[in-house]
Amino acid sequence: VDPRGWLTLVAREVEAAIDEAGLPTGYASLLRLGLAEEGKVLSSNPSSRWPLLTLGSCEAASGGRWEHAIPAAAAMEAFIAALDLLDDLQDGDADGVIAACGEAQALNVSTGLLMLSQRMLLRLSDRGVGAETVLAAGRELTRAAMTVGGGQHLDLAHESRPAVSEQEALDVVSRKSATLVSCACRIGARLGSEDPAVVDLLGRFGWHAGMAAQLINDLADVAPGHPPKSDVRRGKKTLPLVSAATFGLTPDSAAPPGDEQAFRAALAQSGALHYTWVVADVHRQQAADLLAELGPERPIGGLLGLLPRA
Amino acid sequence: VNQVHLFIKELVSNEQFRRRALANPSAALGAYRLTAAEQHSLSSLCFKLSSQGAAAIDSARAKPLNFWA
Repeated sequence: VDPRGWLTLVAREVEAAIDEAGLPTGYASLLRLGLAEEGKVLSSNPSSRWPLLTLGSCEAASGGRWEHAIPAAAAMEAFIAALDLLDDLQDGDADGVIAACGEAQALNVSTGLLMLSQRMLLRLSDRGVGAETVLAAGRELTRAAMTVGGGQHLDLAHESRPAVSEQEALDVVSRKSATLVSCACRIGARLGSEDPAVVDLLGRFGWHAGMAAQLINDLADVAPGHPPKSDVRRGKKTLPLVSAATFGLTPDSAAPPGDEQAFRAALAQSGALHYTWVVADVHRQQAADLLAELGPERPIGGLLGLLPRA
Repeated sequence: VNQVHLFIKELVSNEQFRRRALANPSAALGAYRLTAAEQHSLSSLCFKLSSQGAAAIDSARAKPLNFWA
């Protein structure tokens, strides 16, 4: 299936769920705006991979069926949109919803998107999904939400610490990003198969894919020539910044205070970005190996195509 | 400090080692205790550096999954 075709179906599901909720027009518009940020499913050029992870996992687990998983894919998209908005509020980053309505209303939009994701999971029953499977999907999402919240707590707490270990930095990546990708895959897999081994395997695929993708993001956020992000300024403890110390680089020794571009150049020469790339690539390989374990009869091409390229 | 750290430290700080590693990654990696996946990734890294230079890493794609980050 063409991924754009999948995203079109997910967009329709999202629209239907918002319409069904009977919200004030302004609030519904803001929920739609949160789901229309760059790449998201209601944007003019959707490219979000979250719904595709769920649908691709369902397809791979079931041997080809995915239609009934559309509400779950839509739920993942709304869930991620809510978290993205919360993250932008916490980091003080630019965000279309905050720009449109201010921080107080944006918090309410984030709450609405979280609740919308729950409603959309319940819509699975409209597609003939049994109550036990709907409950299992809800359990996956809420479990992931708790883990992610814990990861965000640690991430924010690390900012005020002078140093954290590589293991601590990787633990945050695991709790935040890898958990979410694993959740998207496990929900899809659960909708495609009752075999716990298949669900577990696709969950582990998602975990490794999430680790790889987040590490590549973190690398790009501090690489020379990329748009400025707040990571260096705010003292984020991402792997490239944490591992710099192992390569003999400290912010004070690398560049004049406040000269972020000079610091980025020193970081690139230190080996810290190379190291991050290798750690990410090892996870990417492990994700691909897990998919291969599913066997040749399963349609896994869609999921393989979602693995990050670096 | 692990074996991947040590290999990369040599790669970025020792010009002679770097030339050898980019020309023949397998030989250079032989001196390190690495998993198969680490060997594969470090070989890929050497190949990318050999063919694309420093831009191989600097141009890593931003936001491949639009992650919460």
